[in-house]
Amino acid sequence: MMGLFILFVSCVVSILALVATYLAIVERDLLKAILYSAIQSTLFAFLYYILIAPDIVLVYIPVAIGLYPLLMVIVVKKSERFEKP
Amino acid sequence: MSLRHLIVIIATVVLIVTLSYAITMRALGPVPLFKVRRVSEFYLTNAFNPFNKTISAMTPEVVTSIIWDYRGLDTLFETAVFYLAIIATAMLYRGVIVRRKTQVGLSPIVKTATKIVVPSIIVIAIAVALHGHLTPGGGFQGGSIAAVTFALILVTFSLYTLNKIGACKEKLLALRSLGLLSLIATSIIVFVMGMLLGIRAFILQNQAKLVSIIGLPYKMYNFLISGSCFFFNVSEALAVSMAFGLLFIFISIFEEDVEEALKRREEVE
Repeated sequence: MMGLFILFVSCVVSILALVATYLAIVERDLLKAILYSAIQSTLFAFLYYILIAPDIVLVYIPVAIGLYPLLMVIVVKKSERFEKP
Repeated sequence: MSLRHLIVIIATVVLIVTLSYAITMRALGPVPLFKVRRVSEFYLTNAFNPFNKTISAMTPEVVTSIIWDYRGLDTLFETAVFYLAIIATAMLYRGVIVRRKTQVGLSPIVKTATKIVVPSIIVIAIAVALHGHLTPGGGFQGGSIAAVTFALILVTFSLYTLNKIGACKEKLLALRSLGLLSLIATSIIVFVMGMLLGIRAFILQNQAKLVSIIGLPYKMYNFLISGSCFFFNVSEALAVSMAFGLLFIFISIFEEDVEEALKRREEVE
């Protein structure tokens, strides 16, 4: 029963993460794309937690949700916000 | 939506469901091989084993025991790779002086919220780093959590504020070097002690081994510190947080300042 629950949750989280990744690739506004990418990272952190890897979760949360979006935001600020079609 | 898109979507969903099934329900059969299972059995039994300290790391956290004791050399080289990148960045930005006194930042609401959040983030980072040998977490985790505070202050306030509260890049570089030096000191302390006492000892040694009778104490005033694991975690947290902070200061430096520094460098040459 517990296994089925974990299977269900990990399926839902993975599919949501896939949707977020797709939106991040398609989006032309790079700031929004960074936000979608951060959502995907959040979902991946959940996934690591479900699959019982707390050490990875603790390093994934600050790096992928705090540091990586900020790095990307600064890069966008120093270059261009909108991707040319 | 064309047929091609539909096929791609269905295929990816099926892939994800199958992979999730394989991982969670062990559809791949008994996942670890028999030999691998015996290795993990060894680690689980001996990570904290007070009855046989010669093969134990004396830390209840098995991941930390592997990272800093059993496979400590790997982690040291990983740290070296990370700091090579930081050193290269620091070299590119040498001689740059932060002068511009722009103090725009975000709205007062965001600033107040940041002032409340930053201390709690630092407390969590310190807790994660100090308890790295007892609970999930450790030096890198604690350090990167602490580094988020630099990022928050940079975005909500400004680079000038960060300089004003004392986090200038020279200071961060010095603290980072202090962290790295204490990493090196922890890894050779038993070896040096053995050399001074004339006893055989090894680099990166934690507890006493069968062939060398000295080692770091695993308890200090009734607190479990697991020998070198605690010191490794603390110094790694210091080094990582300062290195990330340095990186963020570097990338948010104004281009005019960098150009000035480049001009000065050319004049000297």
